[in-house]
Amino acid sequence: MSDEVILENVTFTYEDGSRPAVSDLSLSVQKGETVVIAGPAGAGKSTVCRMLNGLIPHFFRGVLKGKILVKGYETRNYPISFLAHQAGVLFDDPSSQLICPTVEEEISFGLENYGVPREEMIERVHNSIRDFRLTGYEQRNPHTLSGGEQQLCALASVIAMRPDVLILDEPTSRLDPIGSHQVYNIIKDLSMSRAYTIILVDNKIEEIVELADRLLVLKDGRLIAEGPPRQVLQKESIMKEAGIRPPQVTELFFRIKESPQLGAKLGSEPPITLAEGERQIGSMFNPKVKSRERIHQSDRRCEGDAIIDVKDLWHIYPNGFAAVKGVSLQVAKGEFIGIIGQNGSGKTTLVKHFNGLLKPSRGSVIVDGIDTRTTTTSFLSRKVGLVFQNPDHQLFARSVLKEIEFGPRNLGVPEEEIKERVRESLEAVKLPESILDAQPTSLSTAQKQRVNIASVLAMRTSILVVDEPTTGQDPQMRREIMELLTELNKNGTTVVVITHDMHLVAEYCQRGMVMKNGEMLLEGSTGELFSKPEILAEAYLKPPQITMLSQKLGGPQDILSVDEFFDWLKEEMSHR
Amino acid sequence: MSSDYIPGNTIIHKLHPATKLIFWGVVMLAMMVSDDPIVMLAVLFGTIVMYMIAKIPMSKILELFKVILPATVLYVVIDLIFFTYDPSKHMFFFYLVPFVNWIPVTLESLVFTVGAVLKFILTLVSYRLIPLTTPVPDIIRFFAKIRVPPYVNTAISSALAYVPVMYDEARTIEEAQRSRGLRLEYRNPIKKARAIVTLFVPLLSVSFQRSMRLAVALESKGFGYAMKKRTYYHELHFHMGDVAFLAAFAIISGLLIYFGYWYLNILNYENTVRLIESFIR
Repeated sequence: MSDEVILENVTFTYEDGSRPAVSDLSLSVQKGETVVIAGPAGAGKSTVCRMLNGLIPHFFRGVLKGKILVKGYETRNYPISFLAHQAGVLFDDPSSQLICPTVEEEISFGLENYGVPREEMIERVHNSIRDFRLTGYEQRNPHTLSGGEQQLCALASVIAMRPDVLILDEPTSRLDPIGSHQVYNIIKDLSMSRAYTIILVDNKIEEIVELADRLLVLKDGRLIAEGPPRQVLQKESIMKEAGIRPPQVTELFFRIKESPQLGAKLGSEPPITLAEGERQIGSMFNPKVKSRERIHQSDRRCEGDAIIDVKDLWHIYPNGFAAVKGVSLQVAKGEFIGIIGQNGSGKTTLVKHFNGLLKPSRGSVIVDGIDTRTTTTSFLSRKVGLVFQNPDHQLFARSVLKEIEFGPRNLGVPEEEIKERVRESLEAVKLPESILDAQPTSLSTAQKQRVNIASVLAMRTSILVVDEPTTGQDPQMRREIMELLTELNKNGTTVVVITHDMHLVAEYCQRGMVMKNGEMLLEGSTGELFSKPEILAEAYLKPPQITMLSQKLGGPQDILSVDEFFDWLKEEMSHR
Repeated sequence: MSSDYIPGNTIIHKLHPATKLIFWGVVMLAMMVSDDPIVMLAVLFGTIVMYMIAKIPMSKILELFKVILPATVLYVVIDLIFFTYDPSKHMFFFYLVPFVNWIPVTLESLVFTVGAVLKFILTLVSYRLIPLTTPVPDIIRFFAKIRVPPYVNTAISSALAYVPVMYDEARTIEEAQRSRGLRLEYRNPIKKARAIVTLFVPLLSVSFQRSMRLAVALESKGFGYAMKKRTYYHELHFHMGDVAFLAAFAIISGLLIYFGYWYLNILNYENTVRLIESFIR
């Protein structure tokens, strides 16, 4: 087998960068191999992707040292348009890589550029549309497809060019669970076919362990671990350093190993998939587990008055689309509730009613005793803070200070108090005061998200609604944001969070609500939600891996974390 | 939606984009050779007939009127201001600004202004027929055919593809700022301008990021590789309908040029003025 991609002692510093984005990186990938690169934000993962089709150094300029060979071509000597034919790239954001007004043309665009004869082009486009299950969408504007379909369309357009090397840069990080599922299925097929050399940048370790031949971990531009996934995942300290969570079954394995009584009952090879976990952990129980009880009290919800009271809410958009259909929900003061569901299931439409951005078409929404139909958003913004998904949609000021002051100023808060609120909210999001003079748009994504939250916190609302705060963030950042919300919740703020991440729901929310096609599918404490995997599956959701493991082994239905599983296991084993 | 395109299967929809462009050209020609409101009304009538054949709801035209109303009013006033008033010849009606006797309105200026306004409306109404009945990709293919450079063409095409995306972004930005207590219903123009800045800046920064990513996507699809050898997925052809329409356009153009150019007084607004005068007297 030959090496299709070779990096030799590569160091790259962006034109405006103060330190190398990638330093002294060497790696080689064989033909037909699937290599996964994981690591926190700023580790240099995207930089590696950009190098392989020549975007670096031809489009993104900077100082490049070392040698990059793709199929034997040294990238610095060939234009991007040539290299793009060798190595096709799929980026994380589906919509910003779709260029053409129809799906059909999107797929043919690359072929047109390379002068593929028309007859052949038509055939290739048809094949791609069929293979990627886009039949019926030929004439649609790709931007009007769902996130997963958009990403499939983008991938189809790359594959149609028949590159030998495929570079997939966090292809599912901005997708909902259905979309991720669709895209992973295709990636799995591509990987199994061995027809492509695949370099996949991805932090969703549980999803990729099975298809990765090798796992590479990058941090601060350096390669800190490399090898078959099973080997790499055993290096606990390195994983922690990179902020990467191994699969929960692997975590559980190490947790058990640490324990003097139980550790001896396990083999030395950690499981990395649910099936392996089921086999290994299951072998500890002899005879089989009998207890099927739940470990959580049926309710973790707070007792108290409903601060948000949604009654039979319908929302019908002017084009006749009913986005919310008869939803009723009470949120108690001081609660931490998660709203889950696919994109387009009506979650965002629902929460936009909480501060009056949208008014009910039917039914009512009462917030802190006020019917939202009778008042304005600018009034409700004193009570409900709504943090939007993408910080770039709201950052406009010349400095962070002005950005945070914006909300309180709109509310007419006196000057003295504004100062105090700025300081307070900055402290809450753990940003240093020195950042106040910085221009918001020049900050990193993680910092922007924090400024975004701070600017809403400064309005001192008793309810905080956060829409997908974790999309496009690395695992570490996701946790930090959820910790931050937990902190606020402890201090009395009612928190409503929309998320796709089931692990986060399990770990941080007290209660959850699942939406599907505008309706409420399921509602209850997180334990209750996850103990009904069949209903969750209707919304294309599944419980966290550890919950599924317990359910498969016949343990409690509502285990929510590795710790809970371990505690239950200890208890269970002590009876034997 | 990505464009104003209203799907349909009418003869107008099936016309080659070039034919539709030529139709617009004929309307432009009529406006060049004539300033008579009656001629303009006739052309407008013809255009509306085209709309009806294409089964475009009349609400589309009314929508357009609503949008251009302020501009139209301004246009009327400007026309009236700059129309040279000759007291010895013109039939005086009243002053637009009374007491100070400013801006005289006469039969002549009124007829001329009506003609001018009709021209203004006609320009837009006739042009809009093209996007309403032609799918965007067809327009782009046509541009490609007449050798508009691929760079320009791709810029236009991606801009069109992004219309719905940018529309959504703009709405989200507005909602994000309103959620932070922003009010947009200020009367005070300075406050209003400030409010708009809070929408405009994020939109600009989001658009900039998008265009950057789009450029990366274009490069990654091999755009610019051997431009001369580029092939095209879709091809456009002329049909019988096109031939019929083009023949009709040729005849109309001939008539317009003949009467408008060689017999200028026939398509002149003064004829209409005289006609109305003879009725009034």
